[in-house]
Amino acid sequence: MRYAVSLLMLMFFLAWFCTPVSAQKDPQNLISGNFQNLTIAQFADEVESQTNYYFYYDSAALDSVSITITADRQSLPALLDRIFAGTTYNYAIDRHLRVFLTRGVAIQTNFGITPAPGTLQAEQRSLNATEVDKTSDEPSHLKYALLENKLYQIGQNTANNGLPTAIINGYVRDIKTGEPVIGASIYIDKPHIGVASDQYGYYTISLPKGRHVLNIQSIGMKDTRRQIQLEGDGKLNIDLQNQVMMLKNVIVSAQKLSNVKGMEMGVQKLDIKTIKQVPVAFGEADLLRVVLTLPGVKSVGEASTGLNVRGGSADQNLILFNEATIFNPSHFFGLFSAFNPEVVKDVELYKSSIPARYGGRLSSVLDINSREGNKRNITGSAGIGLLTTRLDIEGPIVKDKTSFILGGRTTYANWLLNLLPEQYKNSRASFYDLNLNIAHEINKKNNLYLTAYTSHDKFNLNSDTTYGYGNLNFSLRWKHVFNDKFYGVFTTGYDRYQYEISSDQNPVNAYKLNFDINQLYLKANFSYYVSASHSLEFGFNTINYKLDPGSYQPVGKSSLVVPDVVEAEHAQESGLYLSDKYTITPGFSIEGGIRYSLFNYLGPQTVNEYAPGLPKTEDNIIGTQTYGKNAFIKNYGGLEYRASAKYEFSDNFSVKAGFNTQRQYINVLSNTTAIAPTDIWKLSDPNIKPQEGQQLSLGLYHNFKNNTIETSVEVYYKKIENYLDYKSGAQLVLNHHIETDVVETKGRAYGIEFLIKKPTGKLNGWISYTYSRILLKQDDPNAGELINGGKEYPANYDEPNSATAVVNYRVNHRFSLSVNATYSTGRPITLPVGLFYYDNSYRTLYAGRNAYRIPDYFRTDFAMNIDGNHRVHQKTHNSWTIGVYNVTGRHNPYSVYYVSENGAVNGYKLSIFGSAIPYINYNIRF
Amino acid sequence: MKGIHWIILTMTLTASCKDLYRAPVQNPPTGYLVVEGFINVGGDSTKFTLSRTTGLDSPYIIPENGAIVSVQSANGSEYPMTEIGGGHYVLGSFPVDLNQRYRIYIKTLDGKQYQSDLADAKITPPIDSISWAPAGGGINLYVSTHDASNKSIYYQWDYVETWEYATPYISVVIYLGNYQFDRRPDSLQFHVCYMTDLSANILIGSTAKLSQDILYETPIAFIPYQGVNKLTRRYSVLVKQHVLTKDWYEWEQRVKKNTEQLGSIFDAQPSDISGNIHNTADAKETVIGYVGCSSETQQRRFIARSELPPVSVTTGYEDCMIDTVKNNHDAIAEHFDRGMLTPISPVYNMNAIVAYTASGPYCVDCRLYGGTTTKPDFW
Repeated sequence: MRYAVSLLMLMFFLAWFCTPVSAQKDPQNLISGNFQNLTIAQFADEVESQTNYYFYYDSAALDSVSITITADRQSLPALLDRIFAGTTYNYAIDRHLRVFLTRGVAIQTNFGITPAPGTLQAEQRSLNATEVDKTSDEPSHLKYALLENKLYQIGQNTANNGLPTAIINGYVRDIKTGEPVIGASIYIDKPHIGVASDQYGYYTISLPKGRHVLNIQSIGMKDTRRQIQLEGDGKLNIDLQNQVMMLKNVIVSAQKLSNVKGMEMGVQKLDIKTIKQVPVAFGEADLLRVVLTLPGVKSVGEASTGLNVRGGSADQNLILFNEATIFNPSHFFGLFSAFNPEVVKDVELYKSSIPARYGGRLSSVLDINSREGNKRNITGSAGIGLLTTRLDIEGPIVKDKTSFILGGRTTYANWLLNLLPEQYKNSRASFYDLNLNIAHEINKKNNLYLTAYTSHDKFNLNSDTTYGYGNLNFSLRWKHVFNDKFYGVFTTGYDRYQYEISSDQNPVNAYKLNFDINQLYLKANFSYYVSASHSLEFGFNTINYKLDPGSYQPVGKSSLVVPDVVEAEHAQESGLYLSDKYTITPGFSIEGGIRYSLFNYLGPQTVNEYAPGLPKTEDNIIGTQTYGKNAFIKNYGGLEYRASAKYEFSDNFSVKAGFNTQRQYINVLSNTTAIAPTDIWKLSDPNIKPQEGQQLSLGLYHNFKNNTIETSVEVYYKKIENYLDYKSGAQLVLNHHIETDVVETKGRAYGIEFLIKKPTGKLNGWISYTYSRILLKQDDPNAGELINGGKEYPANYDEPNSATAVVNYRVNHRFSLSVNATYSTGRPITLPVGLFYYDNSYRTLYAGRNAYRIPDYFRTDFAMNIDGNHRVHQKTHNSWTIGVYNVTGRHNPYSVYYVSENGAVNGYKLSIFGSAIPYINYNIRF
Repeated sequence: MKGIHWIILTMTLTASCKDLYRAPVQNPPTGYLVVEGFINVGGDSTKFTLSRTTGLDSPYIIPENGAIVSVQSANGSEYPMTEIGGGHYVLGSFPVDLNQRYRIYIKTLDGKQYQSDLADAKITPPIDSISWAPAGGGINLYVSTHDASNKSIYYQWDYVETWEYATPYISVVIYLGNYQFDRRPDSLQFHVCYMTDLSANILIGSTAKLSQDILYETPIAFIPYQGVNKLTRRYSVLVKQHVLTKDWYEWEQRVKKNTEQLGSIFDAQPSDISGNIHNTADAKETVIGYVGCSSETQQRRFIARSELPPVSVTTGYEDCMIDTVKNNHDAIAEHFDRGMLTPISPVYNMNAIVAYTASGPYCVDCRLYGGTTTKPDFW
C-alpha cells in the first residue's frame, strides 16, 4: 500500500513507460510461501521482499481481495494467474518489474509494440477462477461516503454452481469502538430480503446474484448502504458510525426488523439506552426493574427483583449473563439488580417461544449480553449516585483484535444506616460487583470471548447475625465460522452461588451456616444456514451440578454447636436439540424444535425411601438406600417440543402461534413470598419430581405508520406439573428429608397481553396491559395435607390486572424527560379469619391460603436526563440524571399483616417506599 | 436461624413505612375451642384455660365455662379438675408416675368431647441463672439452663415481672374535705407502688443443634429505658421454665411465627396451627392448643436502678409540676374539693399555713398509674 497510487495517475504514468514484460522467468524472482488470508498489501509486501517486483494498485479497488495460496518457487505471473482466476481483477507487469493491479480494465504495458502471438494471452488475461476467500474489511481511515459508493465484488463469477443465489456473511461493527452491532438490519429493497445481525454482530443473508444495494440500519447508528456485485458466496464486514448528533429524526424505514416480520413471539428486547431512560429508585439504572415493566412480567413487590413471568415462579427463569447462569440477580435485599448497567449491552426476554437451545427452566429465559470493550481506544465511565458508585474502563489489548471491559460497582449505604435510631446503629450493609469481559479475534473465522463476573453482598442489621451471599461466574466462548453457511459457538464455564450466615455473639451458640451451588457446563451450538428460506440450529449442552445444601458449623472454642452437614447433591443435566426454521412462502414460515432433556441424579447420596401410597412424612420412611460415587440414582428426561409458525397477512400485520414444553430439575425452596437471599436450591431427586410445563400461545402483530408504532396482542395458556408448595411450618434449611416438607401441586396459568410500542422518535416508549391468572391446586390426599381443601388457590404473585406506561420525551439533544407509571392488582395474601387468646396475648387464626388481596399498587416515577455538550472531541462527556421515584408518595402496600404486640393484635400495611424518593446521579465518560 | 428481624430495619432504611391497617374482611365468628395449659407432673397444681376463638373484629375472650375437664393417664386413672370461673380449671397435685403418659379430657357444655394425644412426662431441670446486660436503649434479660442428662433439649419460659416505681412528690397532708387537712397516715401513703405484668410472647429455646444440653444466655425479654417505667427504682422478674417434647416445641414455634414474627419482607406463609387435641367424634374439627406433660422450675432476679448504667429512664411523671394553692376557702374549694389537685405539703409563713403545695392527683398518687401500694411478699 506504500506504493498505492490512484488509478488515473497510474494510467497516465503508464502511457510513458511501457515496455513488454520479459523478466518473469528470472530465477531470482520466484516466489515461495504459504499465504493465508493476506490482503493485497500484505501479499505485495511479501512478494516484494522475495523478489524485485514492485506493486502499483488502487487500494480501494482491491481491498476486497483476500489471498490464500501456496507457492513453491513459482513465477509471479503464474501465481497471479492462479490468484485472480475467475475474478475481474487483472494484472500487468512491465519490464521494470512493476506490477499493476486493476479491476475490470487490463493495463497495456506494451504500447506501440505489437505483441507476439500468445504473449497477449499470457499477460493480459482477464483471469477467472479462484480458491480465494474474498473478504472486504473496511479500513476505518477510508471515508465513510467512499465506502458507500464503492462497488464490492463478492464471490467469484466462474465457479458457477448454477445456483441463482449466493450467501453473504460477515460482522457489523461500530466503526469507533470495533464492538459488534447487535440487531442491525441488513436488507435489499428489491426483492424485499432482510436479516438481522446476531449477538456477535454476525449476519448471513442470501441474495440473488447480481448488483444490489445493501442497506444497513441500526438504532442509534447512521444508516448506510453498500453496493455489491454478488457473484458467489463471500464475506462482507460492515462498520457503522454512531449517530453522534441527531439533527433530524431518523425516518424509520419499513425494513427495520419488526415484530411483525420476526419469527419470535413473546420475545422482548431492551437495549441499555432504553433501560437507562427509565426512572428507578436511587437512580441506578436497573435492568430487572425495566424488564418488570414489560407485559406478562410481575414481581411480588418492590423489595424483590424476582421476576414472575406468565405465572411462573421466580426460580423458573433462566438468567444468563453471557451464557453464565446467575442464581441470585439482586443486591441489597432485592432492591437493586446485580448487573452493572455500563457493562450490559442489551437484554432479551423469551417468555413464550423459548428457543430449543435453552432448557432447564419452565417460564422464561432472560438473556443478558454484555458489551465488548472498545477495540480502538481506552475509554471509561464513572457514575456517582446516592447509594452506589461505579467505574468502568474499556479498551484494546491488541488494537482491533482484542479488547477488554472492566466494570465495578460498590455501595456506601452505611451512612444511611448511621442515620437510623440508636438500636440500628451497628448495622452494616455493603455490596459490590465486578465484571471483566475480554473479546479476542483470533482471525476472521475464530473469536474468543471471556466473561468473569462476581458479586457479593454482606449485611448485619444490628442483630448478632451476619448474612452474606455472592455469585461467581466464568465463561469462555469460542465462535468458529466453518464456512459461509455454518458456524458454531462453544461455551464452557463455571457458575457458583453461595451464602453464609454466621453469629458469634453468644459463644455457646456461635455458628456458621453455609450453602452453595456449583455448576460446570459445556455447550455447543451450531447454526447452519441451508438457504435463504431454511436454516438449522442444533447442538448440545450439559451441566454438572454440585450442591451443598447446608453446612452448620461451630465457631470458636466454646461453641457447643454440633456440626450438621446435609449431604452434597450431584447431578448431570444434558440436552441435545435440533431446531429447523423454514420459510414456506415469503409470508409464511414455521419453526420446529425438539430437545431431548436428560437429568441424572448422581451419587454419592443416601436416599430416603417412603412407603408407597402414603404421604411422605418422617413416620413413613421405610428405609434408606446408599449409593456410591457417580452411581445413577435416578434419571429423568424426555423430549421437549418447540413449535411456532408465522403468517404475514401484509407487510404490517401477522399472526404467530407457538407451543412449547419444558422441564426443570432444580427448584428454589422458599416459603417466603419474596425470594430471600437465604433460600436454598434443591435438585430433583427420587422423592422430588422435576417440574414440567407446557405453554400454548397465539399472537397478533400489527404495525402502523411505517412500522414506527408496533402493537401486539398475545394470549397464552400454560400448565405446570409438580410445582412445589410447602406444608405448614416447613423447615427448609438443614433439613435432611426435605421431601417431607414440600408438596407437589399442579398449576395452570393463562392471560392476555396488549402492547403498544413506539421504539424511536422524539416521543418514544410503550404502554402495556396484561390480564393474567395463575392458580395452583393440591388435591392429592396421599401427598399430605390438602391446601384449601383441594380447591384451586391463587399463587402468591397472581396479580390479574396490570398496566404499565413508559414514556420518554426528548426535548432537545441534551435534555430528555421520562415518566413511568405502573398499576397492578394487589397480590394474594392469607389474612386471619379470627382471634384467640393464648399465652397472655391475642393471636390470629388463619385459614384459606391466599384468599384475600393486598390493596392495589400504583406508582409513577419521573426522571430528567441532562447531557453535557455533545462536542465529539473533548476529554470527558458528562451527564446528570435527576428524578423522583414514586412521585405521588403513595404508600404502596408490600404486604398486609397482623401481629401480636404486647398482648394485642395489630394490623399493618407495610410499604417499602413510603414517600417520594428523589435522587441524583452524575455520570462521566472519558 | 433466628427470625429475620433485620428486615424491619431495611424498611426504615429505605424510607419505608408501616401504617395501621384493617383489612375489609368480614368473618363469621369461628368459635373453635382453644385449650391452654400443660399437665404439671412436678407436684404443683395444673391449670387449664378454655376459651373460644372469635371474629377478627371482636377481641374479647370468650371463656368456655361449664366444661368437664380431667387429666387422664394411659392406664385409665382420671383426676377431675375444678372449674374456678372465667374458663379456668385447676387440679392440685396428683400422684404422678413419671413412666406413665397423660392426656387431658374435655367435655364441653354442648356435649362435644375432646382429648389430647397421650404425652410423655418431662422433668424440667432448674434454671441456672437469670442475667441481664445493657443493649441498645435498654437491657436484655437472659436465661441460662442446662441438663446434664441431655434429655430436655426443648425449653419454654414464661415470666412475671414486678417493679417498684414512685411519684415525684410525697404527700404528707391529706385533705379531709370541708377545708380540713390532716397529716397523711402511713396507711394511706401512695408514693410508692408495685406493678405486675406477664410475658405476652411465646418464649422457646432449643439445644437440638448443640453437642450438650446447655442454653447459655438465651434472650427472653428486652426492657427499654424509654417508654416504660419498669427500671425507675427496682425491678424483679420471676422466670418459669418447663421442658417440651419436639412436637410440642414445633407447635409453639409455629404459633410464634404465625402471630409474632411478621412484618418483614421475607415473611413465611402463615401455617396451620392445629395441635394435639381432637374432637373424639370429628377429627377434622379445628381445636387450638397443645397439651403436654412437664414439671416447672422457676427463679427470681432483682435489678436495682443503681446497677444500671447512668441513663435516663422514663418515669411517666416527666410532665409533673408543683402548684401552690393559697390557704383560703375559694382556692381550696376550687382545687381540692373537685379533686383537681392533690395537696403535697403545707407552706408556712411565720408558723401560719399560707398555702399548700400540690400537684395533679396522677403526679402524687402512684395507684393512678395502674399499680398497687401493696408490697409483694417476695420484695
